[in-house]
Amino acid sequence: MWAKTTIIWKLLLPLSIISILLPAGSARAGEVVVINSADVEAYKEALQGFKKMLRHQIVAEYDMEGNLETGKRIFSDIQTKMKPDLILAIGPWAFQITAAQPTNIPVVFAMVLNPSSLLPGGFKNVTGASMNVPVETTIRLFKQLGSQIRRVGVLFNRAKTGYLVKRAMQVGREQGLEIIDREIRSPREAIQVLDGLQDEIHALWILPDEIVLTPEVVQYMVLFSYRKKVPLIGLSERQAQMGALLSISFGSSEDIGRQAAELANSILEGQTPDRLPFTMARQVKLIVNLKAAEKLGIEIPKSLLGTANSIIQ
Amino acid sequence: MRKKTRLLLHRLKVVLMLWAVAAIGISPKLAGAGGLQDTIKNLYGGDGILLAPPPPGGFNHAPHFQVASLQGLDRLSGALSSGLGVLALSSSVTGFTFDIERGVPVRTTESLGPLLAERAPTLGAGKLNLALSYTHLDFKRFEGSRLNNLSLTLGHDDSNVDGRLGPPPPVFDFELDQIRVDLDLKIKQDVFAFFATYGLTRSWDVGVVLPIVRNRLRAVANATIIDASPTTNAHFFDTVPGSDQPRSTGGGEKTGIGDVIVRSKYNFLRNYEGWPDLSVLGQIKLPTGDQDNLLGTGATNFLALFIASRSFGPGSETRWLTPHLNFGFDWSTRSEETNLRYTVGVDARVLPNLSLATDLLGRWRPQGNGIGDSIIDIALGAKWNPLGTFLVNTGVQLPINRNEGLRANIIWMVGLEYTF
Repeated sequence: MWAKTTIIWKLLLPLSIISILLPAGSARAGEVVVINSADVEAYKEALQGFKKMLRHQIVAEYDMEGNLETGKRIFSDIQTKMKPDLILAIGPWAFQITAAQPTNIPVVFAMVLNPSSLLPGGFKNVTGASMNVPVETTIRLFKQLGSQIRRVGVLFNRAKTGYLVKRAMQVGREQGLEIIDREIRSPREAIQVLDGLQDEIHALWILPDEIVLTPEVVQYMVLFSYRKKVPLIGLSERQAQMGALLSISFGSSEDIGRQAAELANSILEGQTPDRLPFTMARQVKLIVNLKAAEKLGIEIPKSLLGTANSIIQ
Repeated sequence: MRKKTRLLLHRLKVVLMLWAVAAIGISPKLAGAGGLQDTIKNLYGGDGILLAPPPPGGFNHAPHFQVASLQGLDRLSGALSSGLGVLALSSSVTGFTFDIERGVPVRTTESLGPLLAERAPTLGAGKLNLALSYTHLDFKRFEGSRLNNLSLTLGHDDSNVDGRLGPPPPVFDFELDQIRVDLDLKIKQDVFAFFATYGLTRSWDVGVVLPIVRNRLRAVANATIIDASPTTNAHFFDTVPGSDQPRSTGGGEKTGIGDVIVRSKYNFLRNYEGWPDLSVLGQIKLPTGDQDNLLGTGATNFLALFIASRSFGPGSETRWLTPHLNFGFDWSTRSEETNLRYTVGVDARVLPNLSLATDLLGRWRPQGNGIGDSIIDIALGAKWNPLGTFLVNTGVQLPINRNEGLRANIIWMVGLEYTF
């Protein structure tokens, strides 16, 4: 009799556990609402990647059409009427609208550059996939250019890219590279500061900083690079075409969307956003400018050329 | 946003259905046998001018102008018909570009696009552009002559088949008589066109144009006998059955689907340093319009168009001035309709939501019939962007060489456009 009961218990117990766990494991699909900052190709690709990787359901997609007021209205409607399990904010404007206001709905962003700088006060219940290239990747590029490069100059604005410089100094130290940082507050100041750096650095790095990216500053950095025979690493194909030796940027909007979906899956399956740090681009696009290399008298290592997505000859 | 889009699409569906019903069901007044195309040919009963029959036992002069009048009216009818059926198309606007360095979308303040020409950029993947346009043409001139004052001079038959008109022998001096037909023509055309263009990829658009055409034609002819024979008085009109009156009228009104156009544009060069944006466009015009009623040309046309355009301005986000050039070959199954097309123009965004545009539009038929083989027009217009991607456009088209072909003094155009 006891033996029989034990067998029944042995069967019942795992079944009970499974029946309890099943609803949790295969819980109703989480509901996701998408807010898109604007109708641009890169954001569409990111959303495509997100959809491919998401294990849950997108119940609505909204386009802010580049208008912050429209975005606020959409967000308010979502909060009061739709109440989804998660919001995907694509692009900086959707990110600012959703992350700046307190909400119980977790937010995952995608295609945002320097997310920390957009919300200096910090954000809660928010994580996402940034467009930033990992600092480690750029530092590695400088190292690959040769042992003569020991000091790399950066111009930055503390409020915008201070956190990046801090991280670069830390990684640089580990890699035997010194980051010579100069804080600037205006494009004019950038040019003066750059002149002061001329004998101090072996390479120059353009950071994704609003002030640094003004056309006159970028142009001056290119000139500086040629005059002082200092290699310059930029952020886009355009900057490589302007004369930067290398440029490195995120490689795929779709992959950033996939990264965001991985974060969304984790949140919808029990993780809290605060425990998930925002990610950096894992696919990058490297452009090598051989014309610039010739002018600078630098030989680009074959290993670096082999990883280039595009070569300017 | 999605609900709005669905609602708009639903409304457009209703409008399209109404148009289709209108096109099939509305044809208030039909012209006589042969349709509107034969209105002029069908004047005087459709068998040419028959004069009064001879007195009993007399020589029959009644059919002496029949062949000449049939040929003359037929030629005029054909020439007028070939001037109709040319349709102008518009193009659309894009809203944002992406600044990869700053990681932000940038609202472009490019011009809102040309009026009748094409520009090189495509819509973008997944975008749908819907447009409605209305064009009104009131034709006023044919080969330089006013349509309300056209004149045909018809010669006499060579009755004695001697290879010349008039004496000798003296009795045949009646061959010197002529008939002058004064014509007053009113030709009006209204074209409602529905355009749908869809971006298959970032650089590749496909589209369709469905025109609904309304033609109104009214012809009044007055024939006068020019008695040039010194001795005989052989030709005259009479009221007896079997002979024609000097005055004849005809015409009617017809509405229906015009020639449907399917088209595809591929943008193979964009934002390339030092170069204009370049595209190619392929277009097929199908003979879906009723040729008999001048709703279509009755021919299939294959157009290959090369498009170049470039936007200029003080910054990459504020390129307000866009010159454009189109050049193409339009091959037709009716060889005389095969033509070369060219358009040069410029569109400029003069205010944040207002663009002005001008185009010089040309068409040259190398194997034409000599009537309207080279048509050159100038188009002037404005595009207004009141909200989002909604555009209202209006313009006029004026003839440069008004003495060529069948021409209106001014062509009015108005249109609406929305990109989803």
